[in-house]
Amino acid sequence: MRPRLIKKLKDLLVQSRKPKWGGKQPPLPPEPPEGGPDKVWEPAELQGIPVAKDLKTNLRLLKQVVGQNSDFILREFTVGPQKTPAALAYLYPLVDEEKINAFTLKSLTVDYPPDTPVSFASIKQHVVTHGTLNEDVSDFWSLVLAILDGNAVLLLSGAASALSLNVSEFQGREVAESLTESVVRGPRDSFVEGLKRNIMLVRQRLKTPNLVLEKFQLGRLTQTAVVLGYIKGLAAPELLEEVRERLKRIDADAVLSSNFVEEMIADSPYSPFPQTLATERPDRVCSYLLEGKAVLIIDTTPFTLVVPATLPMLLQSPEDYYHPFAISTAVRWLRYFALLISVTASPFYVAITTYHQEMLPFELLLSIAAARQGVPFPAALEALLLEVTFELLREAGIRLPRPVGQAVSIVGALVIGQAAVQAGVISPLLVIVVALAGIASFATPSYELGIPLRMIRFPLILLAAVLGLFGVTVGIIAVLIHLAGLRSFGVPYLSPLTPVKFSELKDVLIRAPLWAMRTRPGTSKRDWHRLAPTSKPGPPPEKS
Amino acid sequence: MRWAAALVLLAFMLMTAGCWDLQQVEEQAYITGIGVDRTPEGEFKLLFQVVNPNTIAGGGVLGAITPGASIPAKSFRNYVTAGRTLYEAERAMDLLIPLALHTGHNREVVFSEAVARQGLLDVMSFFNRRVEMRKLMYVLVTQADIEEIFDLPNPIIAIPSIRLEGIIRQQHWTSFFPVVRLGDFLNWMGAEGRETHCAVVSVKPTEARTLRPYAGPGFTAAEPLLDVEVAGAALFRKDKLVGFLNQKETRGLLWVLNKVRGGPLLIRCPESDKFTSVSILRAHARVKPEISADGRLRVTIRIREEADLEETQCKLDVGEAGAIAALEALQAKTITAEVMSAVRRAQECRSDAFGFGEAFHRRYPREWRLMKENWSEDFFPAVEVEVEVDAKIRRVGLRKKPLTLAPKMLD
Repeated sequence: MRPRLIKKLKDLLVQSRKPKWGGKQPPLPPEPPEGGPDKVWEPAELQGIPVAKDLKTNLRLLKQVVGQNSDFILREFTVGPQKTPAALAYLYPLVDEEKINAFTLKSLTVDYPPDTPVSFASIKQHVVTHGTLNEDVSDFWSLVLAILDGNAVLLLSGAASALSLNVSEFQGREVAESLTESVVRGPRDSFVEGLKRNIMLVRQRLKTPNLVLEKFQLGRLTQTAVVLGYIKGLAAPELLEEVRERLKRIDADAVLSSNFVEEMIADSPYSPFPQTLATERPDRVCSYLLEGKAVLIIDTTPFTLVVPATLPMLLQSPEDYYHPFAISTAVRWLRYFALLISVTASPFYVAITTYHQEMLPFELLLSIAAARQGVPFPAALEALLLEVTFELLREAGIRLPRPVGQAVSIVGALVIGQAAVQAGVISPLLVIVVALAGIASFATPSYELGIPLRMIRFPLILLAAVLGLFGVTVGIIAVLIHLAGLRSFGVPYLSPLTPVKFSELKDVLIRAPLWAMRTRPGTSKRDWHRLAPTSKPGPPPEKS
Repeated sequence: MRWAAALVLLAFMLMTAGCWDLQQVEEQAYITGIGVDRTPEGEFKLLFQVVNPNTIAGGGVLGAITPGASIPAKSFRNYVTAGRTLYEAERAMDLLIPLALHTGHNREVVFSEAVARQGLLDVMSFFNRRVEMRKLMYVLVTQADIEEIFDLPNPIIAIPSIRLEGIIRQQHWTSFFPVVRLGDFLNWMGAEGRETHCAVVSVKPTEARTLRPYAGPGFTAAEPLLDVEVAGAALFRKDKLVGFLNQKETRGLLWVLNKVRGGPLLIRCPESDKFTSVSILRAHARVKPEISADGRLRVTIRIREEADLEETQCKLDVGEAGAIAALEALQAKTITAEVMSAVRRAQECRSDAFGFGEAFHRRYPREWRLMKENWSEDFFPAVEVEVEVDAKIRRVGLRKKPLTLAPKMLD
């Protein structure tokens, strides 16, 4: 009885240990695959098929896999004096045909140097004249992937591998001015959709061999390149390990934009607050790299992610560092004040006008009372209506084609600002309050942070309508508790405010002079001091 | 799922409160002045002054629907009701007003002499109990009719209660009346060794006459006949009004209470019928009680005072040695006279508004036990008061020599 029970339990244990998903699937036997044009090729299946020595076998399989594509080109020819059969396979929209003709086909056929044996080793050494050569591919999955990535693959009869030649040509948008994070005095360039160009923008600014860019391929179908960038010696190895771990965990069909990565690596997936910092400014990315943060440059999107991200980081603007520190500090305070207004203005209005009239100066109270004469809605409903209208206008302004967007803002201004007030549907003071809160919310440098902050207003208005200032306080405390509990890659979201780190407040409460910012944030690892202690400028000491 | 359920329950919890105390701004009647009087039948008469926001706020133009806007709207309404308690009278008012009464912004409460002489203990319960009644509201007593006090027209500040508040806020220009708030009044009313007091408001016929009333189409712009005046103080014993101080006597009281913040001091020129005016800058008084060996009570009041020379009709050359000192001595004499007159008057009324009893209590706690029962009636009137004033002139203005008709002197 007992041994049988133990065995049963053991079986159960073994069963439960078997990975349900994401584990390595058992390799398929390398049977010669046959399938019509309708066969769906799985990566695992292709991975199991090695590149055969026989060219004909290879070409037959290749045609089966990608042959039905109209943009697939398979160019067969012979190489060298021995007339060794060979083939070049590529997708023509992705490659530069000029490169193929001049540096590959011509040198392999017409200009093939005599007395050179036909093998990949000698072809690499003597024949092909590209700057970049990729690794040899030996299985069909890598081969197909190389073709899909914009390479040309050279297959040679008698070789059990293929040579992937980098002849890709990416036609992308030119580097342009940043649309979402514009500055007055900073550099104007911003990231584009092409990975190569984005890396170029970063490398231009950081000329250190310690800047490391590790490449990941994410998305089973999109095979999007995600580059993890960091500065060796500054970024904490634990952080990098964690980032790699989370990136590897992503097993999805598609990574189409930076948010596909962002949502997959967040610490608190239900929180509305952004836990990574998305930016399209290379200067900003570099400054965070210098603070020991890790960045994720993602192909096909102009937005680069910075991790870990904290709330104070999201409230910093690159502009802060391009103006004298006193002005930057003042502007930063103004921004914090704007944050406060954008969240609390309309809830406070609702709470005070419906519960705490004695808190208002008498003259103000009278003008509110006079303005609200004949307004049919209670203050809370009025505020909600107006806030919804404001959000509507904002959303419509973004969604509509640019020429029409103008019309929306005009109609919105007329309808809300003038007609609603004159019709007595809405009190003019509330229009001022909501407009102020709206303007203030756009002073938040991060659009991703601005949206949740604006959305918080709605529950706060409801709380204000039901419980007055007590409700607003409770709501704000709830939000603060949530924020204090958030972490981004292990770093508390409100740090260095809480847990407080005094040495880092120099870049949060104020913007210290650049010559005084001598230490990096504690999240970075080594190289604690970033400038010499004698950096403070001044006239030379008098000679005695 | 559990979270969602918790959220829903939480939302229900919010609903159970049911928007307790919710009150829209425009659905309230804001009371800015309260008057309390007695009816001939012996009931309390309560007056609430309610502001009409439509006529006052600039924001009332847009969005407001004013029915019958062509009728010149009055900026306030006075509601008067009667009741055996003030609360009864207040609720009787609800039968007249379509809005909720809001007393949180009340500015002042005016008691008629009749109510004050009978004792304010009964009415103060109403003001002391209610949360919305601010202890910051001013307390005043009037010998005039409260309805008149709260209904005198004036184009400068249309609402009488707000105008009254404005006058009280200007007290530092004269110090001719005490600024007593409800909190102070109640504290002093219950204090041991001190009697309470408050300012007096009265109705004064205007001096300015409309010589040629303008009779334009449809209206006449005549001067109002009456003005509201705040001057002097009312003295109480326990909760009952017992007497009044005039303006100068009131300032005599305020010197001792350290409440003089400014005001004109009138000094007679030596050997002439002309006057000099100085304005008080600051003052500080110390009260020192003493029980002499033969058991007499004595209080020494030391006042340090500073003033600026504002105006003089005398032949006063401040550059001359001794001129300032002479002026300071005269000034000290004036202050002494003010204080002494106040003390005499208070002793006559047997109302220790100065708090001499408290001073004795502090210094002689053992002896105080014997005196405290009949302090105001028996001991306070017998207190001998001595005033020592150290007066200073700080600035004399742009001129040293007196203004004369000699051409050079008129520069």
